[in-house]
Amino acid sequence: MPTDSVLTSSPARDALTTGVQGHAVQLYSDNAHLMDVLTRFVGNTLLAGNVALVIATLAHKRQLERRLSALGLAPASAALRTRYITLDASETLSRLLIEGTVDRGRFNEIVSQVFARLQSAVSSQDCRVAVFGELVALLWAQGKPREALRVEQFWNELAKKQSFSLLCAYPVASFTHENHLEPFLKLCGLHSSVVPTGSPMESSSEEEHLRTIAQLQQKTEEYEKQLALRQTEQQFRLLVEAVQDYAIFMLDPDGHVRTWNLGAERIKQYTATDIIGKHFSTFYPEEDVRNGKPQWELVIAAKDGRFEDEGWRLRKDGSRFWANVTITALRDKSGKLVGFTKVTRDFTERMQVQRALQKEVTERRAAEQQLHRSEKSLRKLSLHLLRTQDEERKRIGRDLHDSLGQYLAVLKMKLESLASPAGQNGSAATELARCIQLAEDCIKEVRTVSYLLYPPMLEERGLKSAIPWYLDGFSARSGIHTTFEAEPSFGRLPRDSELALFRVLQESLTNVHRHSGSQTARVRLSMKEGMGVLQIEDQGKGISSDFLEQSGQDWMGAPGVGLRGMNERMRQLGGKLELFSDQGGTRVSAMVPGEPTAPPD
Amino acid sequence: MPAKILIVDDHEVVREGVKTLIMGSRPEWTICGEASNGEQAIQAIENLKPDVVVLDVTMPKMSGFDAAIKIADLKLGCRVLIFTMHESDRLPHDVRAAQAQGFVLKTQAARDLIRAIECVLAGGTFFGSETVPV
Repeated sequence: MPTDSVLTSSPARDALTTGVQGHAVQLYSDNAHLMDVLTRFVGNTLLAGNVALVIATLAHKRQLERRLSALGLAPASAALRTRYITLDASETLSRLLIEGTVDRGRFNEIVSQVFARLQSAVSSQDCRVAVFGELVALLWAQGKPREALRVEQFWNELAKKQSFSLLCAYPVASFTHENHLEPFLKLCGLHSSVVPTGSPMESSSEEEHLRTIAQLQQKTEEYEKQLALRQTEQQFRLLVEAVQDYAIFMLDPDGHVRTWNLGAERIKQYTATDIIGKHFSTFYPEEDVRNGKPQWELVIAAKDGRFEDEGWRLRKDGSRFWANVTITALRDKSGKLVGFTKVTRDFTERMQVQRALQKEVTERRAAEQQLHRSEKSLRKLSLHLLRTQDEERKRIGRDLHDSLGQYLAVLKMKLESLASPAGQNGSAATELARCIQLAEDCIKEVRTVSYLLYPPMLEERGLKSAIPWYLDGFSARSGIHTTFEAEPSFGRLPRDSELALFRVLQESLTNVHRHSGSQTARVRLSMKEGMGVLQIEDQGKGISSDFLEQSGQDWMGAPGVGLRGMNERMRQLGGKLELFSDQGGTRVSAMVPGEPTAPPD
Repeated sequence: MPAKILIVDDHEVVREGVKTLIMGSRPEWTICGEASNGEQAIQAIENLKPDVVVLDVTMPKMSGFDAAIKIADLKLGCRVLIFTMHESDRLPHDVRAAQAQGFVLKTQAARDLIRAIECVLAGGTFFGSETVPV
């Protein structure tokens, strides 16, 4: 809006000083002032030999003519010479209106006729026409600002074809209603100058005029700003109301709902009528309300200016949704808390996706760790198995070489001596007896070595016979005293189970011998809940708790080096291995099913 | 020709067999002593000053080869015959490295041992079946 040009252009100054040029508007608060201005406007026109058209109310017409007469300007005589024409504003308006709307055609027709009459009265081409109009003021007063503006527009259109000075007048009292602001600004825009209330024409000082203009300008700018602000607010309100993805609403300082938008309705299911005036704790689950969470959130928001939260909230139907909530405190210029805005988003889906993702990540990580552990333990196990196998081979090799080999070498030596003529001189009978003894030793040795590899007794007669046989040999080799008890009812187990238990026995006794320091070992065989149970107990120093803790679930890995492999074997058979150890000794319990079972995957 | 012989082996049955073999073949020789490991062997040599030692390889505490080196270091003129079950291509090399005068395989004892002892007593060496006279 070209406010500046309206107010500071030279026509405006002309209007204020010498009369009215262009299209000026006079705002007046008291009638006397208007009359002063009008008298000057018309008076100057007539004095200068120009012509005037006055469209005024009857009252204004009478007052004007009285004043003109007082100045000696004889309006009646001027009227006779058609240098001065008056139209009754009310009557003219009724002629212009068609169904409540000012008709452009009629306006042009009426005004043109009057202009023609005025112009016919003067011969000079320089003669100027001055027009005063109150049609607009009437329309405004009737509550038709739009029509008033149209009339102003018609005048402006006419001014493009014909030259005249126009002065409009509005009582300032008309602009009381705030709805008038926008039309008022438009109105100002339709005029080449705006003459403020007061008596600027009487003021002699240019400075005074400028001050008045500035004041008016300021006022206009304020109007404009207010209007812009109001428009922005309006647009913003519409925007907020239309938002669907966010529940945006306001709370009063106590937490009662003040406004509601579409998003709030969509997310929380309440309509504006349902919820406005209710306390916002309605949206919280019972436990939160009990804990005072809603109120506490307001306290934080009021203190920090803002509060953010994620958590469960309730819909109208009682169902829960995962909400992302931001509460912002609203304060007026003085800092007083006037309420809160609350923005709520439904994050249920996002939360679920996130949780699912998190769960997957956790599971995957656990699986990876498990796999890593398994791999590690498998490596350890296979390394151990290889080592055990090597040791076993070494032992067997040594046994074969050291005992059997030597026996056989000596046997051969003796037999060769006997065969040679040189050797015949000794006692052949004694030497032959030695040879027979050596052959027997060889047979015994072969049996021992092969039995340790796989006791034939185990297969033929079962654990109950194989164990005491093995214990005898072990005691003889190690010097450790062993005892053996077997439940009378203990019968045969599946072949694999018997062999596995026998290996546990060998491994455990090796550990007793190597690590425990125990001088005794007790072995028991029993049946428990359909499982064959083998227990090996020593009275040694036990496995240190440090060691057990350190190796964690890998306890099988070290103390009973081979126990781990045994455990693996037990599991394959659907059984298990348990280790108990304290300062009083160590107990290994191995359990396998009494009946064959399918190995676990 | 009389000779003093020391028998070193961790298996008693082997020592007994060797003793029987020697005494049956050469009654003029003396089995001056027996030892069951390298350490005992060194001690016995220092005390008994045998002419020949029949020395097993695989023994606890000190192996036959290690013992042979120490025996050579004693410089008592004691001849060493390695007596082993371990037949391998490397054996002659190992025996020489241990500064022993020869070896006899336990499995060929009846055939070789007496010859080997005679050979080293005469100042020669005995590596398997091939004798190297002086």
